[in-house]
Amino acid sequence: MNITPDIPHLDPIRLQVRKHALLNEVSAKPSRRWWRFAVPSTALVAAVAVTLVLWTPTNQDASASWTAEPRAPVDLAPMIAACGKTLDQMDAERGLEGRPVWPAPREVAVTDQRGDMTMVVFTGPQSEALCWGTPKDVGMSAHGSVEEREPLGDRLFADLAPRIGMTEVSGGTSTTILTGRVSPKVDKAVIVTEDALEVTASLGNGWIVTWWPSRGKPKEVRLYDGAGVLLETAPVPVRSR
Amino acid sequence: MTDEELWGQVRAGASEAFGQLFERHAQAVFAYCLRRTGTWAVAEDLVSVVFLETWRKRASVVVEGSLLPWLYTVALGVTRNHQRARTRYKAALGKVPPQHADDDHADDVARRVDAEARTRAVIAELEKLPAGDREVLEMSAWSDLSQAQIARVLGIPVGTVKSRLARAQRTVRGALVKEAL
Repeated sequence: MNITPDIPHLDPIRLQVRKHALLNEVSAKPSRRWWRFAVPSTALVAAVAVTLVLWTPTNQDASASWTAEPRAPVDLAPMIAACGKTLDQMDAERGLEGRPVWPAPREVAVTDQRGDMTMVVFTGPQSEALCWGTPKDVGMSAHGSVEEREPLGDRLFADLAPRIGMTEVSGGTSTTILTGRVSPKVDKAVIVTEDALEVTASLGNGWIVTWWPSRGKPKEVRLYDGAGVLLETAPVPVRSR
Repeated sequence: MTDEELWGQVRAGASEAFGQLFERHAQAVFAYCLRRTGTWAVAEDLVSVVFLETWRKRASVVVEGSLLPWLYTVALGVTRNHQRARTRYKAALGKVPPQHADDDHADDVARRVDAEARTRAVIAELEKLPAGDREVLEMSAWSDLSQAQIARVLGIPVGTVKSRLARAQRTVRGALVKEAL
């Protein structure tokens, strides 16, 4: 038998219709699904940067000094200024080929200090940036959208997800950084990881941020109000890419 | 302009160059998809899926000579899981204007029905083969790729391509696979 049956040519008009639909699709700006594209690339850059920050010989053991609770804040002005320079650069390059079209976030929403690492989350209507570092170095991972962020509404939390995860090649030490949004009703958020760590996140202006010294995925979030009453225990949604 | 030159522009974000590559290779991808699925409308959609997936991965794809080996690699994947692939790109496929009934002249309809009938008969015959042997035989018969290129597309050694092809031809008695001989 002839296993190569003749195939008629596609109708030229239909071919053009499909071509134009294809080109329209590939030229469209990503909107709701921007995380899919923004997170992997920025996370990769961030992972490299954090690896350098955390495991250079001059800064050997950030994970060893990690605590489940954030420590009292110290003067963050120098770090915020350093992060601001990176945000200035983002705005200067805004709209250039391969660069974000959204404005860099400028509001300091929440900070977290534990171990040798300090983190600052900047937010804006369309974007947010996670800036982290030690007194020796600073790194940043920013995400944004052409659309404004969807309001929380009646939800107690949203967008809760590990933003950056990495493992040190030589020593096997790992780090996961998580950010998310919470309702004004929430006064305390505890993340439970699949390797049984219970991590109290830093919280401010409707945002939380924290990190832990493993690649254990966040399994559950416990949300408390100002009186310490448990508002909700919920699984941390698995984000598909 | 060669595929390599156009692809260089595509990687820089030039959608017009991507359109030229679509016009150049859509028919070959369509023929492969139709022979694999046996359904005209599905094959048309899968052509779009193949090119959308190619665009999505443009940063990591290196073209040496022709884009076709890469397109066949993607086409193999999407035809293996064509329902899942169509679901993933449902929003994009939904933007393709539907074909009006006025366009469906009787001759065209008959042409499509005949093509579907022929390909389904072949599919029924090839389904007797193990999946690995079948994919080698199909790629040999339906593409202009060399055995070395087929090996790369399928991710197997050239020797395996040869042995699977020989075994498949023995099974499908009288199969015409002149390209691979």
